[in-house]
Amino acid sequence: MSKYPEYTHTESKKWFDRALAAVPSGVYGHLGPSEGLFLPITKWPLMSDHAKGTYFWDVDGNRYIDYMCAYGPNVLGYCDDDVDAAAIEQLRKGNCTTSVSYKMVECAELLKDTVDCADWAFFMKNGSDATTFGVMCARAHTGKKKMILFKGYYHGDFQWAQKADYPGILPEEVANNIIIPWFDMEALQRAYDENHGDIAGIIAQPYDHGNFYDNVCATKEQWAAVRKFCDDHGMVLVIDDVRTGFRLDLAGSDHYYGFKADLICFCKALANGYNMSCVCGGEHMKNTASSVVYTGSYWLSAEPFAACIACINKMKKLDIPTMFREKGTKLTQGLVEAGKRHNIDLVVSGEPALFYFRIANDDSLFLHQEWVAECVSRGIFFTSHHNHFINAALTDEDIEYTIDVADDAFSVVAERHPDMGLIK
Amino acid sequence: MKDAKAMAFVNAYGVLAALENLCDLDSEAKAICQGLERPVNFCFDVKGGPCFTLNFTKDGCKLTEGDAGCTCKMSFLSPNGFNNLIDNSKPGIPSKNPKQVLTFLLGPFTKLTNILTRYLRPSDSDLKDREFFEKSTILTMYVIGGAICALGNTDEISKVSASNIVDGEISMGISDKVYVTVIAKDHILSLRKEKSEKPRAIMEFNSIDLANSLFNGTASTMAELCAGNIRLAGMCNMIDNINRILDRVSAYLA
Repeated sequence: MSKYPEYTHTESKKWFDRALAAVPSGVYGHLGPSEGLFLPITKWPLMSDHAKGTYFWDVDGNRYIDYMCAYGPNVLGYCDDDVDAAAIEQLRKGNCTTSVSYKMVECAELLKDTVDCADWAFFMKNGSDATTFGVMCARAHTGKKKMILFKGYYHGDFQWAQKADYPGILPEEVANNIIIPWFDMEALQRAYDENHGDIAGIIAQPYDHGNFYDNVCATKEQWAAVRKFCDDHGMVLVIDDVRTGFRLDLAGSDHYYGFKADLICFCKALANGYNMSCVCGGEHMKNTASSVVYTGSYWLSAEPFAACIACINKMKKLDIPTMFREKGTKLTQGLVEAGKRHNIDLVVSGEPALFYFRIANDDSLFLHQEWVAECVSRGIFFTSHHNHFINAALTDEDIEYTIDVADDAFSVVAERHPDMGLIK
Repeated sequence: MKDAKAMAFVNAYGVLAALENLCDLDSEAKAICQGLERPVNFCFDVKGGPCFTLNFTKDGCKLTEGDAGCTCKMSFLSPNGFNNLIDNSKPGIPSKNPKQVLTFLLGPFTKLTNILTRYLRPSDSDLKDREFFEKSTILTMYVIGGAICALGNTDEISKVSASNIVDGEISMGISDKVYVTVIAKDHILSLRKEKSEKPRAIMEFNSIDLANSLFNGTASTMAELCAGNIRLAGMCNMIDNINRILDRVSAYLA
């Protein structure tokens, strides 16, 4: 008998059916059932009503502790009073204007002061905008063609960042991507030689936080070797800090791993959900960044800049990286212990601030998906394939409650599989 | 963007391999097999392409790799030559036991492939017959299973997808109707025409009507996934990559 009754999703289903009639796939992309892997779909909320702090409520009135944080943008808590106040104040003064608001300058100056490798900041809207700009700058700076990416990469959904077998992608659009294993220096040298040095740079996330497999943290030594290779061969090192940015280190994840990127891409945690991204870089890249033709209708709107300033200042005040490391460690240790009580081997990997986990009792994730679904249907929003996120509004009580629900969900799964040697 | 060699493998291991299932499912096809005076082991040997044997007996049809034990053989100078047999009924060169090649090709083989074509390219009126509709959908499932493996091993773009599939079995099926298992080993795909006992990933359509709509392109896989009409479970990255190959299957079989 489950201690926590399951939620129902009657209103969610109604809204989703309306969505299916009006929007391809109902909800497309990572927030939808398909890419979000809502398995089975009946266990998941499909539409939200409102959100505050670490919680969101679906249209059926069910509350969730959110460990996906909108896949990263929620860093301080939903509807953070300080960030929202700054954004609303700016909205009243002006947002999308012909003459750009001075808030852009303040925001760029704050990023220069915050991010270790930043001598400037260039703004856009989404992570894909930022990574694409990074690649364009690498090519413009070196006059070379190819980019090296690490296996399992995800740098957004623009054509160059997809794969040859994806719908709508031409092989030519990804022909200049060279994929090598993470930190394989021999493969890096081989790729350089085989392409006769026609390599503009490397774009990589700070560590391997891919989906469906245990995440692998990097070491300072590994990054030092890559940095040196780029320096020795005139290649630009672009760090895609879209997912990890500010969660590991407010000065940038390159700083966390002890090196300096030529360019670093930020998005998710930048403005607590207000729509902006940016690329920061060293002085040596500034003229190149100026030369690249790249703009958009909303890229210099003032409201997100105001939100970003408030967000960065609050992240500094709260020392977000330390807080997230502690919260992530406390939560995952509690979950692992709860699993042990049921003979369930929950393996945790990656940085604690962006933990990834899987049940290792089987090699298929079947058990893991069942457990995640039972957690979600009791108000703990995990996902089964992706790293997780936490936000500053998550309290110790929330963590304890999460572990208790997770423990209950382990019981449900154990009871369903009496043949697997699990303990109810 | 179709490659002749990959198409030849699709025609071999997707289309012609479905004769195995046709001879089980369709009474007319069964009768043709039962009318055989002796077994015919018909090898198709394609230069730069597949080499396989269709073994016909009174019990039905079974595909085996290579030419071992074949009683007759038809050779093709290129994958295009073989594809011409499938598309335009243009035969290759009888290279072993020409008499049996010609007799069987012009007789039982043509009859069987005509029946298969009727199922795989059904008319609207045929599909109104529920039994025909179900058999047509089931045979298409087998063709798709074979084509996924053929393309994953030979089509350059599908090989990219296969390169991202980890080892293990992927169970694909139509609930309570038909299942196939795609087996991935070192990024090479093979097919077993039965339900997997130990899959690492599952993709299951909840009805034969849905499967038919997906196969004929009138339903969207993504939309049906989102609507909960397709069951996914397990290592969904395996299925994700199979789906990318499925896109290529559509292009090849269009």
